[in-house]
Amino acid sequence: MSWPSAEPVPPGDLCRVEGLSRTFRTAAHEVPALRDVSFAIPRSARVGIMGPSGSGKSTLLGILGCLDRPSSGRYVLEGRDVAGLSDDALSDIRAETVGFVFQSFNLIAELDVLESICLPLEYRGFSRVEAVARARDAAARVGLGDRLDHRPWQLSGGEQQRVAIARAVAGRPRLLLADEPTGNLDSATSREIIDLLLELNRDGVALVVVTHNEEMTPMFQQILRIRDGRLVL
Amino acid sequence: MGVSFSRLALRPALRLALRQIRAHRLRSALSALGVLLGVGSVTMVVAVGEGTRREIRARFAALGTDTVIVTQRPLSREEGGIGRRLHVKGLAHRDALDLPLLCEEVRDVAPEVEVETALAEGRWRGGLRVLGTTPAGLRIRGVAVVEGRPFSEREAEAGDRVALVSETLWRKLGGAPVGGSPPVLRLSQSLLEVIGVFRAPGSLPEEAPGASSGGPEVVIPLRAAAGLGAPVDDVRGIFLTRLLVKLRSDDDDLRAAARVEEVLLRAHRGVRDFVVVSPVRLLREKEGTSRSLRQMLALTGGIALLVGAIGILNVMLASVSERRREVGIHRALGARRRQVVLLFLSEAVLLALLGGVLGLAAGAALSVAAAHVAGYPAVVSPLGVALGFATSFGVGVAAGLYPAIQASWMEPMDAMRT
Repeated sequence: MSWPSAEPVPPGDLCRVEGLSRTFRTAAHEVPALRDVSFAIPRSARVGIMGPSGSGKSTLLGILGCLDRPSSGRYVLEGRDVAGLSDDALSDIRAETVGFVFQSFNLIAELDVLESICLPLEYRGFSRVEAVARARDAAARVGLGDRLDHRPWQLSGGEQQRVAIARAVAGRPRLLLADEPTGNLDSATSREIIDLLLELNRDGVALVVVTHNEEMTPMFQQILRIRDGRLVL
Repeated sequence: MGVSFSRLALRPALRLALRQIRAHRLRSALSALGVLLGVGSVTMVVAVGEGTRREIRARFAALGTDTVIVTQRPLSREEGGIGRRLHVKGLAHRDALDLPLLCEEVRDVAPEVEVETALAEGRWRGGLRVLGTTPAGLRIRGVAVVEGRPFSEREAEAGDRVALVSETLWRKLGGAPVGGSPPVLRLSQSLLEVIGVFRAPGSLPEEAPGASSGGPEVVIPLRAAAGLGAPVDDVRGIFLTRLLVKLRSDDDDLRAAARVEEVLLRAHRGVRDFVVVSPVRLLREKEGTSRSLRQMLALTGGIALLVGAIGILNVMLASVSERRREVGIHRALGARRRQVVLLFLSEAVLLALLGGVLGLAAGAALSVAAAHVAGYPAVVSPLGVALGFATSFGVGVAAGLYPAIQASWMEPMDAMRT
């Protein structure tokens, strides 16, 4: 099934990180989570972020997804410096440009499959009819077209992650961020999820995956290894 | 920064709020209890107030609420002495003629005199209630002539002995009194020519002092009443039982009544030998009787609403801290801050509305019961229902706003980590 992107993909880098640092301030002291990180992600790229726990991987993913802002340095996404944007503008970027997939799926227990996938589309301002149509497409795409009225507790882990992926890509983002997407899944199911992510990547979405799983390394075009908040080569 | 609502998605917010409430049934029910009691009490307060108002309005219905009634007031011996010395002898025709000229709030005045008399012949004998009035008075009283014609201005001026007879009396007399045409009514003192039959006008509010039980059976020109024994003053004309004063508007009948009172008091040289009754005055009096009940209800209602608001606030604070992670998810999916506000605010408002609807039902049921058992006039009006809804909506917003704003200001990353 072919699933073309909504807009033609312009050439060049999707996003660029320059001298980025992120420091968390507690009452007692400052904890640097990222220090002077620089890299670029081309459009439709496959990028892995690897490193030990607490190295700053998730913090970096949060900044790439505009859930968080750099303490210093620049993060330029599709030509816009994120630092200068309002909270609403960042929310809109998350709704339109970015999709998130998490280790623990992060589905909302009160919503069934179709409603879950509709949610970001409704936040983006799609009409109910349009949102439902797109959500049905996305559900079919991840192989859950016949499970639309199921709640998360009625689904297996793999199915829940598929819902999360459908929810992330239903709005056709340019950047799909996955934080340990297979961390809670058995190896067979992990393989299916990875295949699904690769398939979506072939349709044009840039894929950035935080992972511990060394088996995933062959799929990446570029791997960012992080240790103590710094990029190691 | 301009506020834009274009991206606010109400539907998912309401959907999630409803499911949250359903998922925590007991907690939700308990938190809505305060609003239930509060709105219930408020509903009853409004119902009793509205009932009293309707009752007054119904009593004035025949006359209209733009009417003020002035009646004779018996004087104490002391006052009577002063009155005699000042040559003040009570309400008279003169007052009716002067009032519209002296008082700009007054549109029209009906002077009325009631005389008890008796039929002089026929099979049916007994007391007869005769009302003397003017053509304007016929209109103000709502005397509807269904057969024949009302008496004219000229007949009234001349004091012609013409009479309108009530349908009931007309039937009792067998359709046509003895004497053939023109039909004649033989009273103990005089003969009256019957020119019309009227349908009984609405009775006066019973609170109006001097209102006889039952409406008039015969209506005659005011001046003709002198011939039936109504006392007459050489200067001020026939003494009246009452004045029906029609106001230009019923916007402020309290002020108009005060003005009428002032003008009459001056005309009567300060002797208060009359009483002015207005719809609002009557309402104030009646409201006095149910005031303590309503005050108590309003007080308990207010306290219950406060407690209800705190209950909802409490539940919402718990909900926000339980759902930190969910807030993070919504934010990650592109929800703006105000979308998160809407998410929690709609839950608080739905909780309050739930309590409000149940409170309205309970309050309405109790109002009706109170009306039946205790005789309180209670009416559940659209106004009362609207007020109940508005109150519970307001409580929901007031209780939900702080937790909702708190949720919206969570840092998405922090929220996700929990």
